[in-house]
Amino acid sequence: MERRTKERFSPPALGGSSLLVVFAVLCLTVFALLSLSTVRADGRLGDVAADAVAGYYQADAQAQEILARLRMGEVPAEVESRGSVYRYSCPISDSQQLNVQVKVEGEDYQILCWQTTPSGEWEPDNRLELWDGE
Amino acid sequence: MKKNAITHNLDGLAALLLFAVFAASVMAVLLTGAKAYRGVTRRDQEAYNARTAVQYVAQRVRQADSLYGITLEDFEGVECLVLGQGEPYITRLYCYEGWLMELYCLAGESFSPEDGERIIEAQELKLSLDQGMLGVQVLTAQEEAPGSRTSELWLELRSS
Amino acid sequence: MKSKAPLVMMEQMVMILVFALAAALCMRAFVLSSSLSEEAERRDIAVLLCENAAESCKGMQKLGGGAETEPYTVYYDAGGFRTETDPAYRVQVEPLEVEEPLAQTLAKAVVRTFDEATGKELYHLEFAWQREVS
Repeated sequence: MERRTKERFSPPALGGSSLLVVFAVLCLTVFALLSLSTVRADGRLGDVAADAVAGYYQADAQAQEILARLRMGEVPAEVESRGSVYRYSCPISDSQQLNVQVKVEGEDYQILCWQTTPSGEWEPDNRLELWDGE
Repeated sequence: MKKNAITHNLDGLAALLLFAVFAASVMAVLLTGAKAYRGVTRRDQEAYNARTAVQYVAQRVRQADSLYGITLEDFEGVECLVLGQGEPYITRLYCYEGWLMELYCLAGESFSPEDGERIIEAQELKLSLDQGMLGVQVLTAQEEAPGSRTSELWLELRSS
Repeated sequence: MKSKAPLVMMEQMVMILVFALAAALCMRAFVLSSSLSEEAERRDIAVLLCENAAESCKGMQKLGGGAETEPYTVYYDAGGFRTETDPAYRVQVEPLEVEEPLAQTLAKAVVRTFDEATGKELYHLEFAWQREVS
């Protein structure tokens, strides 16, 4: 009997390409999902920023309208007055408001303060035990 | 027999070659996917840095908008925006060593730029204040990206 | 001994098919995330352009530039800088009507940013400012 010629080029093992494909598909899927989730998260952040800007300008427009009424001699109910200095605030969002302090004399006005401030209640962080002096 | 041996060799060679080509294509696709992911995340990060830096400065200015409360000054050679002028405590916003920095300190006390807190990466902060119009230009850049991004914001100081 | 090469080749054919299918789906995800990222970036720039337009308009009134009674349009490039050629964004400012008698002291306008290529509105802001009484 002649000996069988040894094969010089043995094909890759059965199942080798399946392993390769499983690995490749896993990697591709992870990259694709990561891309999508990163972009979606950034998009949500961008939405929040855009809403914050819109909220500010809405409050700003409201405050300008109140100032316009003050200049015309009308004092809306939500405005506090001390002589010629008026104070009022307009909500920007759940956690912020626009505080305005303005001096109005007839149709002339001077804005003393036009600041964004937090509107929620301040909660102290008492986790650390600080020395109270005793 | 010899013919059988040649056929077996050719079959094996063909399978091996096909596997090699397939493996190379798979690697190429994986590299393309990785490159696409890197590109998307880099663009997102650049946009986030540029947007956040400028909106942060805007928000701080709007929180401090009071009569004569906002000025520009030179802070040991660094261009700096001072908020809360005339009050016991002031806030300084400036760019130092590749970071947008904020320093909240007692007015009149001497501090140096490195005492501030890092807010976000930024290469340069250009400021201008003329007749109540504050101009803010923030230059943000990514280390890997060759280019940089300038974001410009104009703010009308209501109390001025 | 029978050669396993035909079996291996058949397996590789099937795996090529499976990988092609998975790769096509993942590539779609990459393309989607890229387009979402571009859209978010354009919206961020649009928000900034609207803010700048609103603030510039208010600043012009304060400097005595006169009330803006005519709508105007400004073009910006992809980086958000003013340009006359090859614009990527179109910013339009249009005055809004204010009811009397508030119109004597208050002016309002709306600023919109459009994607010049698609004509789609990316962002808009309404804002108000004090009118100087003559």
